[in-house]
Amino acid sequence: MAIRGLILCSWGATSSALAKKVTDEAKKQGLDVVVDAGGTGEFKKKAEAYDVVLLEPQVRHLKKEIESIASKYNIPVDVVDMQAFALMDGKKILNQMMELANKNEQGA
Amino acid sequence: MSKRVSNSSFMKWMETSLMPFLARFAQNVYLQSIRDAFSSFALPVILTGAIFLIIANPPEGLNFWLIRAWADAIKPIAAQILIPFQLTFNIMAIMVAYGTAYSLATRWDLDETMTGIISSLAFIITSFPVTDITKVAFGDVLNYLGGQGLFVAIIIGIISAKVVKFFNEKGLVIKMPEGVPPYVVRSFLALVPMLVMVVSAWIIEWIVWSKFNTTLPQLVLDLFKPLVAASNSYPAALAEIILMMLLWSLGIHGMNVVSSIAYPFWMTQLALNAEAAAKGLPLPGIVTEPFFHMFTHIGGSGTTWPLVIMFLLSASTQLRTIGKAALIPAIFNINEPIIFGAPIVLNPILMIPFILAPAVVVTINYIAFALNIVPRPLIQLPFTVPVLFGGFLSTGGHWQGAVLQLINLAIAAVIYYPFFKMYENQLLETEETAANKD
Repeated sequence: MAIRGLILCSWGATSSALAKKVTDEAKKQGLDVVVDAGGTGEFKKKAEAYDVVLLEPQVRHLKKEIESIASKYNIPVDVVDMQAFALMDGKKILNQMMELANKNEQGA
Repeated sequence: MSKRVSNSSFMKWMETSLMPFLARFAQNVYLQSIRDAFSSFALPVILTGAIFLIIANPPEGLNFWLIRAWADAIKPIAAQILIPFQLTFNIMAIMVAYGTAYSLATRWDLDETMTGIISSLAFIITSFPVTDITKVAFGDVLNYLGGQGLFVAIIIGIISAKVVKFFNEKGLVIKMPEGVPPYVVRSFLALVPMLVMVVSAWIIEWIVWSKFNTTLPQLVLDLFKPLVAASNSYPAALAEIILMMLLWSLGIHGMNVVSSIAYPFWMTQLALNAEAAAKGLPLPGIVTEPFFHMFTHIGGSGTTWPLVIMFLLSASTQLRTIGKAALIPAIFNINEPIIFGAPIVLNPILMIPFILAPAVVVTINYIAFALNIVPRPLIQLPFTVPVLFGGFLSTGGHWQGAVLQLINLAIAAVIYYPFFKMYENQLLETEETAANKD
């Protein structure tokens, strides 16, 4: 089954560029991964549709709030690796996302 | 080898003690909702109206025959052209009342649209004199629905959401039996809180009108007057920018936090400017929303555009790579890649110019606007409008605005450069050691 990931920032501006990089990388590797972007404010409404959520570093202080929503749907949450974020490193972030999703799968 | 910058105990204390405290503040639902009301709900209305404000007041700075001909042609119908401005930009407080209540309702899982409607209605009622409505000049009321009503709009937005929440939680709403269609349930759920809000707004306005012979927005504005005046001063602008940059230095969105308190003040000044421009009077507001978004945070918070260029041309591979990733976002005044990539956050070297450069830029802006060297801004643009366009458009089409932005960039470049060099050398040393090991 496809893995649906979500990357969140304040308004969905930087995350949309990042989400595209990760999706492209997944396509290149032939993985069935779809990544969307969004602002933290809209997470509540969107949460249900995703398997894994990454926060960009500038909204990391909202992690607790996001986690409390995500836990209702058993969605793992993590902060994007700072270095990978700065370099818009799609590959590294894809790995982070896959690891997070797989770990959650095994735990469940 | 130089020590890693982020490991000092002071930095650790900031990350573990100060940051959670400030983060709680940044997450305050009321502040977030006020900010959303302005940046999501009022902005399109302001932009739409601004177009007609500019048509009616063609930029004098551009002294082409075409612009002069245009100015002459529209003079007799200026009032008519201003109608779309008057009924959008100039009634933005209704949108703020709606948006504040809507955003709070979203966060509290209430019916957003209904809560927004309740709030806008209650707000409109407070703007009208409680008297024979056929004798009220709409032009007089209009003032309170715009810039002069912002404070009451926010207060009513918060109260409306609280009332809806209270009635829902206590079950003091008209509930329909199972099987009734959801949209019917919804309208009945809103009925009791709507009645309560409308009636209270009307009674309060009646009391205010008969006792003080003024409307609630005017009364509240009079209370806030000293604060509004103070917000237009240099110390206020300087304090705001320093607080913003300190928060960013810790990795918290400083603009979001500071603007959620400052927005009503910036927008009151901006609305005063727009109203004055529509009447052909001198503009009173200096510290407005574009003062920061367009004229200070050029390339993103902290005037980091010059830093992106320095990174692109750097000898350090790390900085060059970050510069490449940061280039496109910088055009649209987004600089998280630089702030977290360089990183500037918790970086004792880059934090200094990151606070100093925008503080100096704010000083230059204040002087330029206060002495009317550059025409004062009267239009709020989306913060993503690129440099030059932003300065030109937010001043209502004056080239001096674009020149001020360029001067600010040059000054920021001079301030950033020595610190950039220092940091670059540190990184080069590390990169060299790493290379020698291989």
